[in-house]
Amino acid sequence: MKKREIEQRLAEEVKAATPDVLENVLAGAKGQKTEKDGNIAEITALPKRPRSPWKALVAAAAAVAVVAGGTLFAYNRISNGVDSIVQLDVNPSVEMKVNSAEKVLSAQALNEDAQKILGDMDLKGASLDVALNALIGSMLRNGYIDDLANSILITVENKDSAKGAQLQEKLSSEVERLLQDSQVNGAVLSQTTAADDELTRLAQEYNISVGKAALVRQLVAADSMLDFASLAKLPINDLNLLASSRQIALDGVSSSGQASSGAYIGEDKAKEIAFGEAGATDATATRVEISLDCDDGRMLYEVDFWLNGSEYEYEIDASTGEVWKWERDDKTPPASTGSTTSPSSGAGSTTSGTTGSQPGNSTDFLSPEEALNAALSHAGVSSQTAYDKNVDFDYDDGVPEYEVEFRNDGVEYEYKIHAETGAVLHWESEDHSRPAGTTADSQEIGVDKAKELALARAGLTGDVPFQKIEREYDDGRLVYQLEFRANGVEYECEIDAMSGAFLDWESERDD
Amino acid sequence: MFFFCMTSTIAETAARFAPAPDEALLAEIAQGSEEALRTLYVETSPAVYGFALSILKNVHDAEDVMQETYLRLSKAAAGYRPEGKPMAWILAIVRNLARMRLREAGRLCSPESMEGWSEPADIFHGGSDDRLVLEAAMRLLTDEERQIVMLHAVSGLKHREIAGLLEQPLSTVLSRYHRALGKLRRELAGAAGEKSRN
Repeated sequence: MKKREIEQRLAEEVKAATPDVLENVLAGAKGQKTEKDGNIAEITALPKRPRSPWKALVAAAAAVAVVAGGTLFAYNRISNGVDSIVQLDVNPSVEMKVNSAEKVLSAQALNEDAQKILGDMDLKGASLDVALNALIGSMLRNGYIDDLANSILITVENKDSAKGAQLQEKLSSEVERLLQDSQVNGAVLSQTTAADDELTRLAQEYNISVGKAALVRQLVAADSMLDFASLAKLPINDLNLLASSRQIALDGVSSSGQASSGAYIGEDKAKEIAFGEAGATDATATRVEISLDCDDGRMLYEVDFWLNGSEYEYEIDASTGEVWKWERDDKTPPASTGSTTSPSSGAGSTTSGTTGSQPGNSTDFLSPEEALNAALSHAGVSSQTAYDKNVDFDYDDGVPEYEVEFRNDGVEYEYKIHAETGAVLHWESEDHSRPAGTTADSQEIGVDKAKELALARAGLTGDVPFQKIEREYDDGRLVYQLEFRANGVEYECEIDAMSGAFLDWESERDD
Repeated sequence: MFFFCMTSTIAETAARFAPAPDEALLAEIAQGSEEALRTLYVETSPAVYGFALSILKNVHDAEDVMQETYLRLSKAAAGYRPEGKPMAWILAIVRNLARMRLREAGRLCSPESMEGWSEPADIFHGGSDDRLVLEAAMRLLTDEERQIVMLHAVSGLKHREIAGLLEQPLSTVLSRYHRALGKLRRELAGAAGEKSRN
């Protein structure tokens, strides 16, 4: 079956497997109004997700970021007696409109968690102090401010920037006092920002406040490894921790106190775990880099280091210390040493290649070396002649396994080895070598002829550059793989080197 | 070996499996048109479901996320800026919702239960013979590979768009895609071989 057919079949199968929720969607859509302006997303009746079980209110530092609004406002967010807009973000996001006498005109939940915080509270007409007190109290009671999610972001927008800054200062010390009263140490970040078109759009798209969008935008701009969508879901404390771990200076943000890292194991512990797994020590590992990272909304420590000529990369769950993923890359030996040199015998290695054979962690997993050996012995290949070796660890269907790849004598091997038992779960090999007993390739049509056939099929003439020309044995059959591009179309084809028959043909508009 | 015997005519004539939806639909949805939402749903739901499934590996979560996606979409349609990429915009919503769900699950469940692809014997609509490729994709591919293949095959995204959506370099997407298709091809060739022997 060719790629296109596989894809088409997959598309058909998915279509058949897709459940029909149209009626639910139409009913749900009817129940919600379409937002046309502002950045306040209404709460829809989506199924409630249970809260994380971290309810204990402990004496942890809470990061409080205060954002004072500048003078520029997208849309007419401030009108009809509204003097300031105050946004409160923890995980719940609440927006309050306040008049010049600091009375609350309206309070709105920006997300589901905020709905829970607001509950039946009627803050309309209350003074801002009282409203703030009630909201912080509710967040403490509901476990939104605790050792895991202990951050508060306050955004103040006011047309008059001096007034905004004044209110910001007042609210930040008020929040600090409230947290102190609750035995929680606060860390205050404050920043002046202005809501522009982009912020308003981002806030709307991700259901977050403009102030949080401003903070996230700054982080993403400073570090290209971070992405907005992932960060938008994180509490402010995580954002603050990311900023300090990745050494991002938040422009225009002044802060007091410190964000709590109490919920996470810390960089030293992450390093200890990774080193334990790999059998590394401070003396043997080089180029060690540790940083806090966020992947799919999950907080991770990324630990990178080199050991015995191999590069290791660990991703360790910042909360549990569990190794989520690790990868070891055996760098291929320099070309001059020949392709059959074992990478583990590469230069500079002073110890043997059996790193990590005594896992230092609670797990009883095989070392990568043992997994590699299991695969090699199954394949009947000597570790001396195998090359391009690569061992990855991953969970597959909940099973911890090593993915082992190597090449030997023109054959590519791919193994899945159970990380606990060493059992071969799956293996495959692809032979790119010339099969024994075949005649000389005298009837081969030749690369030039293949190119000619491909261009003719594409209806092209003249000098077309080829991006890829490969001649290889694919399961015993000699084929040419060609790739070329012309008039905005990408072509990819596979041609039988003997008959000139097209085995695969794909074209895709390149726009 | 059977795949060598086939001609490539199907491959050549196969158009995009999922034509990009008309972005004017989003403007109509923003105006509250139920008909437009219905049309968009019919055109895009396999792509939305397939992508959600490829991330979540659980049919129930994928169904939830699909439903949430259309609700979110109908609410946010007014904010859509016509850039000729409505599908990428919709799939970004799917990605965000699915990742959010994974994050929530990650806080509540053990990693094993998250990683698990539950036995699909009775879980899909339709008979088991009709989902050979889908099951192979769920079983054999890594998360990244599965998402890429699903986006290319079912959603009709180009590799470059996939790279943008998944925040991966284009070269990585291309090599993962080719590797994934290779895995599927070998698996399906094996399955067909077994069938002919039986």
